[in-house]
Amino acid sequence: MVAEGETIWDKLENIDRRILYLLIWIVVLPPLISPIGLPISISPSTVAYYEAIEKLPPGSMVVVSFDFGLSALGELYPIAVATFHHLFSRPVKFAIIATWNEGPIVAKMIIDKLNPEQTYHKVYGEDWIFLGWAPGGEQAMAALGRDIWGTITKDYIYKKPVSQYPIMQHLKSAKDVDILISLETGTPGADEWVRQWWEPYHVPMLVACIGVMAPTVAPYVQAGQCLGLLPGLRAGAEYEKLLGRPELATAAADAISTSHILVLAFVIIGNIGYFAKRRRRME
Amino acid sequence: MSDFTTYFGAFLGVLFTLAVYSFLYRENPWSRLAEHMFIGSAIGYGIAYDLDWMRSQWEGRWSLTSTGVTAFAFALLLGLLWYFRFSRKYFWLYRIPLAIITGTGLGLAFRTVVFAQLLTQVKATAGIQLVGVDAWTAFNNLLSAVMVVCVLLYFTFTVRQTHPVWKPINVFARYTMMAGFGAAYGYTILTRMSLYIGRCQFLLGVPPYAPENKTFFPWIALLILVTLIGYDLYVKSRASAKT
Repeated sequence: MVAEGETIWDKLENIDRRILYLLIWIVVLPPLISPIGLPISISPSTVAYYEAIEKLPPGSMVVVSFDFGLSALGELYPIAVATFHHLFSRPVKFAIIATWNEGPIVAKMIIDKLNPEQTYHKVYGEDWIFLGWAPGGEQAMAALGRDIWGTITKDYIYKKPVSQYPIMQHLKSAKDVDILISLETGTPGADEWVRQWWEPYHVPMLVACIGVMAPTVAPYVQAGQCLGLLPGLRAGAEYEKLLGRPELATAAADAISTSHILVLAFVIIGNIGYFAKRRRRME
Repeated sequence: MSDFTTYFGAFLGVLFTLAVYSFLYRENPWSRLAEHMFIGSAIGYGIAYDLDWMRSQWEGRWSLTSTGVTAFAFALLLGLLWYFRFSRKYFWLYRIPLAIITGTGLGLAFRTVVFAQLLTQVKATAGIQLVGVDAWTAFNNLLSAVMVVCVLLYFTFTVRQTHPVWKPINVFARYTMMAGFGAAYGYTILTRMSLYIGRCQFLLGVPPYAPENKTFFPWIALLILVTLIGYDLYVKSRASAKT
């Protein structure tokens, strides 16, 4: 129905947002219920992220930082799970920290899901440790870089002094860290890690971030400060493919494609409306 | 008990997810309820987690002989000053922790920001390779270099850009920035859609989410839809009665 004086082009330019939301529900739900299996190509930055972990020498020390909260679960949870699978399957040691206070909840969810003692025969306190939250944002990052023992005195799971764990004998400051993995959505995140860990200690970084942060982190990749970047759920699907463990991100890949096709269609329709109206006005 | 917890957790998760999404139709009591519950629980979690962190990290160290306990007690006192934000008379005390936080934050950032986030980027841009790489990489590198220079020139306000040579530079700079904004917008769409898809996976009980979510989803969706339409009709009837 087109009102009097209103053209079809006006209508196209001003579609009720609720119709758009309904259409998004319609295009997203079916591929999640019944996946189509659209092909996933792997980008060089995903390969770089994968290779950086894959090529770590045995016994390397990794720090994984949860720089996000529950609001970013949809995008970063699958990447975090895949990263942990990868780390647990390699002969490396790692510590988990969080600069966001909801970070430990997400990390605990992942640890509970993976059950590393059973699945990977990794011993807590020897092969990996969960240090929990370090409050203070960038200040905490700087303090951790200088003195990890003094900044986080007890671990998150057993609340025992960190000095009692064998893994911590090899992890006292940023100087002992071979690679830092930041799973981030904003501040504090990669920017702050670059300032507090890369510049003073030259700790190489890997970053997995929500898509919207990708343009902010990309310059660090070009400058060699960040070895690999996983921007968003789509990159998560690529990473899962490289690992040979298709999980949540792969399941979401089809829905990402269909939703993006719909957005493209909206953009095209909106532009057709705009240009048609402009042409009419010129005529 | 665990069954009850699982079901209750799934019920609440689905209810509040759909209550938040009901805002897409228009603001309504469901969305307001979800909003208030979220704010309340987030603040509650923050306070409880702060206290738990202090207890767990400092348990057994509350002795005057412990290293750093004086500094910690000082920090605690300083932290309490934040609450003078709510006092008109002693508001000025709130400025002390604010100044310290701002000062230390800026100091720490400035210590390295020039090297980490400026000079390294400049060096990386200046050092891009045009020879010894394949033709496509060389072209990309050249394009990057030209784009950076053009955008920097575009924002050179100290020179009047009246000479004809500025026109193509400015046009190219504008296209470069438009491409950058486009890429940023594309990534924004990716994030928004991904977060939404994540919630859909939760509603559909895709592993690792609880399969019980799938059971509650249609019923709660129906409940919210019906009440939403009912509420809409009620609001409209009240509005027409007033007029």
